[in-house]
Amino acid sequence: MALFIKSIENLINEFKKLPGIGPKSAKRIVYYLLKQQSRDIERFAQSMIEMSEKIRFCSICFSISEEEICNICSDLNRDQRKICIVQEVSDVAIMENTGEYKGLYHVLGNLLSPIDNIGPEEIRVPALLERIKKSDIDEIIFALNPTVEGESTSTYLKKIFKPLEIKITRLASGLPVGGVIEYADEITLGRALNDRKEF
Amino acid sequence: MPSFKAKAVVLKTHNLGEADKILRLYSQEKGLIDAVAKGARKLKSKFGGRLELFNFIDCELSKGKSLDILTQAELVRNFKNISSDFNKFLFCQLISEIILKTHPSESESSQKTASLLFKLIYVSFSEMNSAPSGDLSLLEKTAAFFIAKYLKITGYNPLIDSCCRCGAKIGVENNPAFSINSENSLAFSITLGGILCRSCSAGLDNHPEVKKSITKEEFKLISLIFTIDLKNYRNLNVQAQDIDNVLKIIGNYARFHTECNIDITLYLDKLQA
Repeated sequence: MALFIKSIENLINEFKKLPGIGPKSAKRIVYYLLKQQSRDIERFAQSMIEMSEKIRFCSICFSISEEEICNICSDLNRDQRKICIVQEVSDVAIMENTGEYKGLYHVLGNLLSPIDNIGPEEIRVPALLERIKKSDIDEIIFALNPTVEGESTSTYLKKIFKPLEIKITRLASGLPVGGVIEYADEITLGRALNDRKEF
Repeated sequence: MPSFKAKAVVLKTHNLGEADKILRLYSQEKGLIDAVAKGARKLKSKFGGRLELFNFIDCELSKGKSLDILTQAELVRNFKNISSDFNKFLFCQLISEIILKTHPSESESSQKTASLLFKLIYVSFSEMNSAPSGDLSLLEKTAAFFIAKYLKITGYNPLIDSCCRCGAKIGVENNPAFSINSENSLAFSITLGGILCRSCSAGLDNHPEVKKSITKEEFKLISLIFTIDLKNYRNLNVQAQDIDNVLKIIGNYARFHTECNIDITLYLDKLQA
C-alpha cells in the first residue's frame, strides 16, 4: 500500500470496511471513481451525508425514517389493529414488497441469545409491550426467521403477550414456491404437513 | 481435496458472506470441526433445515485450508421441543458454549474423548427435549449432569471420596464447614478441587474464601452426579433448591478449573418463569 497517494489509500480503506468488499474490489471501485466527473462524485458523497444526517429510528416501531414517526406508523389508512414483529429493518421492506400486509410493524433489531448477552431489553421488548398495551391491537404476527434462535424468541414473546389475550399468529413454514419435494428436508416437509390447509 | 464422513451435532452457526453459513460442529470421530456450508441460507438450499442449531447430522465434508467444506448432510435427529421453549434453548446454548470454549480442536482431542462427549451431548439434548415444558428443576438437573460428566470425561472432576488437600479418607463426610458452624454443613473447596477433611477444613478457617459451606444433601447429590449413570440419575428424586445450589457449585467449579469463562448464575437469572 506504500505506493499509494494518501487520499486514495484512505478511500480504499473506507471501502474495504463495507460488507462483501475486499481489498481488490475496494481498489477497483476507487479507480472507477477516479474516472468519474466531479459532480457525480459530489452527488454520491452528498447522498451518503444526507442519509446519515436524515435517517433515524422511528420512535414507535424502530424502523428507519426521516421523520420522528415513520411513514407506516403515521399512515392512518393502514390497519392499526395488526402488528407484525420482524427482526431487522430490512425485513420491513421485504414484508412490504409482498403487498399482502397492510398493518403496522415492530422491529426487534436482534434475536434473543443469552450467550451473546442479548436479553429482552436489547430486543426492545419493554417498549413493544408498552406499545401493545396502549393501543388497540387485535393480532400480533411473528415474522421471525424459522431458525432455533427465531423460534425461541417467538416462544419467549408469546409467553409475555399471553396475559394480554390477543390473537398471536406466526408465518406459516413449509415448502418454498418452485421447490421440489424430493429435495425438501424432513423438518420442513414435516412442518408443511402439520400446517397443511384445507384446499 | 480429500473428503471424510462424520456424525456431528451443530453447536453454533455464524453467517458468512451473502448466503453461506459457518458451522461449529462437534463430531463423534474428530471432535470439534469448523465447516462452511455454501448457500445454506438460501431458501432453496439443498441443506434446507438440516443445519439448524442442535441438530444431529450425518455429513460429508471435504478438507479445506482453514475451514472444511460441508458437501452433504442428512438429518439424524432434530429436537423440535428445544426451539419451542426458551429455557431449554438457554440450557442447550450453555452446553454448546461449554464445549466450544473448552474443547481443543480436532488434532488435539483423542477419538475416545470425542466419541464419549458426543454421546454425552446427545443424551443431554435428548433429556432437555423430552422434559415437560415449565419443569425448571429437571432442566437444571440435566445441565448439572452434563457439566459433571463433562468434567469427568475431560479429567477435571473434583475429589469427593478423599480430602483434596491432604488425601485423607477419614473425616470427609462429617467435616464442619466452619469451626463454629452447625453439624449439617460440609466444607467444599472450588479452588482446591474437592471436599475437605475435618482437620484441613479447620486449618483453613483463616481463609474462608477458599471453602464453601454445603449441606449434607448437596454433598450427597454432588457425589451421586459424578458416579451414577443416566438411567439411575433420571429416577433420582431431588429437591429443587438442592439441584439449583449444586448446579451453581459445579458450574463455578467448571469455570475455575477449565478455560470456559461462563458464569452460570448469569444464565440462571435469565430463565423465564
